[in-house]
Amino acid sequence: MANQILGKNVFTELQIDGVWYPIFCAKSASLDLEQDEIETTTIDTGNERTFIPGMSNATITCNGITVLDNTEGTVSIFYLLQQSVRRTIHSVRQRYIDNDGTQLALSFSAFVRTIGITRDRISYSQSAVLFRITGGINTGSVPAPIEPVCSVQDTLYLDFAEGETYVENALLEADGVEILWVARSGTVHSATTGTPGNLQYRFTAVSGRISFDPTNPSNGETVEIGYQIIV
Amino acid sequence: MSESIVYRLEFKNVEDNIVRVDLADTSSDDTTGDPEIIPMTAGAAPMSISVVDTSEDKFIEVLAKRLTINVVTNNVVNAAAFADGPDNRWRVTATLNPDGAGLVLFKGFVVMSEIEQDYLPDPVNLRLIASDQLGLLKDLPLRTLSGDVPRGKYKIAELLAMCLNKTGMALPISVIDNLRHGSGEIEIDFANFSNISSTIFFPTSSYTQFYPGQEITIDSSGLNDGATFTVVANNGGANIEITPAPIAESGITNFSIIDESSNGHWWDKVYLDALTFEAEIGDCEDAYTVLEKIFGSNTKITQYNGQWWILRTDEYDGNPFYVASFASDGTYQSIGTATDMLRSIGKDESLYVVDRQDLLRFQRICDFIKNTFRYEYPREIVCNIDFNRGTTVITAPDLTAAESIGVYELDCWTLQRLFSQPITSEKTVERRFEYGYEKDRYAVISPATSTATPFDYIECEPIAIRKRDKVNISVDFRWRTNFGSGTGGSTYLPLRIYLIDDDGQYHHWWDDGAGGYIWHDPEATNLERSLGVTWSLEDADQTEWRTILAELDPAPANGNLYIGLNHLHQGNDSGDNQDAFYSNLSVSYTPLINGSYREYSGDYDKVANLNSGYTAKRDVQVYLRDAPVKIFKGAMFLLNQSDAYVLTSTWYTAAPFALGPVPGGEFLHPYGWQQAFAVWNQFNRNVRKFSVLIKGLGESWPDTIHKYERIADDTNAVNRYFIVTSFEQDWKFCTTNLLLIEVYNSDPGKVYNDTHEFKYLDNG
Repeated sequence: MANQILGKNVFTELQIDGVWYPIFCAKSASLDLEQDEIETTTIDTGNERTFIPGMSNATITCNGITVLDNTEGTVSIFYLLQQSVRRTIHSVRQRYIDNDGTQLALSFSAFVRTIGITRDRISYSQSAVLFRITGGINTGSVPAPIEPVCSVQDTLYLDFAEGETYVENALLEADGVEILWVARSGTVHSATTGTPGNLQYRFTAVSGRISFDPTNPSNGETVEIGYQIIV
Repeated sequence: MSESIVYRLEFKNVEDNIVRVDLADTSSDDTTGDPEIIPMTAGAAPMSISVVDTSEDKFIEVLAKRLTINVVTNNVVNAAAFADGPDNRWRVTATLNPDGAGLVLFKGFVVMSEIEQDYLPDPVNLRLIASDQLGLLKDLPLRTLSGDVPRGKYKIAELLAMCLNKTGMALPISVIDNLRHGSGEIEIDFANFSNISSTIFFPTSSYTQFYPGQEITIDSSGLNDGATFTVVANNGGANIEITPAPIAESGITNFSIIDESSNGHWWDKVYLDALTFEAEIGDCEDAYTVLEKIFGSNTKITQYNGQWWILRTDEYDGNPFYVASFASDGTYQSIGTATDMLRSIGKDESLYVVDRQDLLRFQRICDFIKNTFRYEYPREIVCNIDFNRGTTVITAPDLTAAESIGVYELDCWTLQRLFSQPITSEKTVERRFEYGYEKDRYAVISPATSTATPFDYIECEPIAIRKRDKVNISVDFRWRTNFGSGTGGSTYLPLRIYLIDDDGQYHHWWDDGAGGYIWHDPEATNLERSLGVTWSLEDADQTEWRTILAELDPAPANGNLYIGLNHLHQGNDSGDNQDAFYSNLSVSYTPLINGSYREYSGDYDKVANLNSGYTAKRDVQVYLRDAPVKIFKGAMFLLNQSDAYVLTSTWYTAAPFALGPVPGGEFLHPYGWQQAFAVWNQFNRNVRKFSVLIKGLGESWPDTIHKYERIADDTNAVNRYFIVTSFEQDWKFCTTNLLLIEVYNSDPGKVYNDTHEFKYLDNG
């Protein structure tokens, strides 16, 4: 099914000085449109209500890992936080690329409605922004974009069941996943491509499996996996 | 005046129409170039227009409109930009599709007291409200278009133009009011004209449409074609007596007799005296009150598409509308062809109910309606009767002196002398003051250089009276200094009284030759006929006031009565060559009403329901009438072909006959009757009211001028027409809150056979 769109192929971008930039490294984004309804039920319409569409309003949200500035080609939350930026109506678009490479863009004007920046001691700081769309949403094709490399690093915590010699997770099956480090019960292991020995692990991307020394099965442990993925 | 700055709000609404609101600064005198356009950004609910009337009265006289805009402030657009200047500084014009149809939604001015802005940093919401200025008329007295206090008689259209001119907008006027005075065009199948008997005979038919005083014109192929006559009597419809006598001819068939008073529009034919709107001597009521009195229980005014529209409630029935056009100065232009200003509300119509806001209510049936006309005299029957007005100072008094005389111009009284003889007298008013307090006031006529007749005299403004009315007149007179060197008695002639009737003939109140006074036979011209007083000069002090009294017999004809006060240098003594003083002029007027000299306080038309069980009633005062007396405030007049003002008498509604001939005299009634039944047909049944929210504000937007129908399969909707008495239009979301009140139900239609009563009200 070539026209399916993977989530990672949805990009939310802000136009600055004529150039489109993705809004930080958003892990998730959503566009919500609400259509008013106007009831037109009269004495002649019997027992069924009738309606006509009224006015519409829409918002778009982005959530992702906080970056300090725009130097890596993505829009930082701190850039959006500036009063001169957040009180301005911007050109924003959301691009959709299907599995065939066909692109569709929804373009609109929007301004920052809410901003959120979180701190989590055991994870990355998260950024969230909600844009209020003003006016209509235009659809159309997109000229060739400037594609910055946008990777997200995160940590995965997996239960290592007693007696097992590996852990696996569907997230690690995704294309472009790179294992940065693995710790078993707090001890960092090194990567190997062969059979893992003591304090070693092997990553099998096709199955998303992290395998450990088969002679040292789990005693009911926790495995921490630091990974990077291109979004 | 050029408007060099225009603040402009423009937006597209949900129906893809462009709405533009311009706020133009009228204070600039820059006449060069195009105005500077300053754009404004629309806020939430950018523009609405409303008519707010909580009375739910179909006969409310004024449906004033307000326009509200909400814009977003910046360093240029803010409350301070509009807060300075007079009430009429910022002219507001709202237009639909300005670059296309250019339909005017509203014209008015920003109301300073209604400007609101959040007192916070920009951008915030700024709300501006504009008024069509009709409400402002409550603060403005009636004035002519040139700014003077109106005096005398004016056409109703002229009075309306005076009022509406005060809004600061010279808008054309459209009128839906097809009352007609008279009987219109009367189609005659067969008639004979008799010169000898001065009669028109109708051998084969009966015509009840003729009435005494009616001015008619013949439209035929015969000898009397184009001739104009006055009807003297209608003898049962079989013949009419006319004057002057027609040319004799017989067997004239299929022609028309046209009542001249029915031509055109009645607002261009019917006059009111400005004293109808007298607030105090020399000033008028406010223009809003004037509108209320003219429109009361009959019509209402509103603004629509850049014009003033005046709408007669009774015309909102099953007949089409015929719209009369007047220029902004009250000049009559034309009457249009039949038109249907109908708006339909229904689920499949362009106007449809939304949000289930559709509330049905009812109006109570009235037991009766009563329109009362009060007989009110002007504060002065004779203008400046007490010689109080004459503000132009000739000689100012010394108000600090023990005694001082001030000399002033005398208003309202005109110096005259008959037979084109030169006038050598002068007229003034003197006021005597003692230490600044006025003690005495009198008119002064300086002596003429000649003692010969005709005497110079001052003449009052005409007093309209009718045949058989009674008038008593008295006035005091004296000289400035005492004289009297002769012996014996002497007669002086201070007073003259004459009546000019509606045909222009002079009737003099004068010596009958036997020591009394009578009304002499009419003369073609004015004659030197004055009333005299005799006393012994040498035995009396001519500085003492003497009174001359005239108790007139019932007036011999309808017309205008004049009082003249003569100079007193009449040669009976050498000492009389000096100023004559007149004071304490008194005029009592007793009209003949209903065959009696009883003092009536008014009359009324009442229509009642024959069924019992109803307790609601409508009892209001009306201010226009076929009055029994010309002097009464609210009396309506026609100007006849002799240039005399005659009272109105007979009316019909022309729209049911498509402005064509009236079939019979049963449709002709006094104004009060027409007005009473027009009101009665709004209160004699279960009237439906709908408070409804509808959608649809395009180029055929619903407004106060339209007739409405509800397209619904329901007994509360079918066969009925409605009018709007209040609404609120949201021009962004194209919704309107309407109050619809039923104005006509074709089942049973209008009723004219319920009990009607006309009665005079006794004084006290």
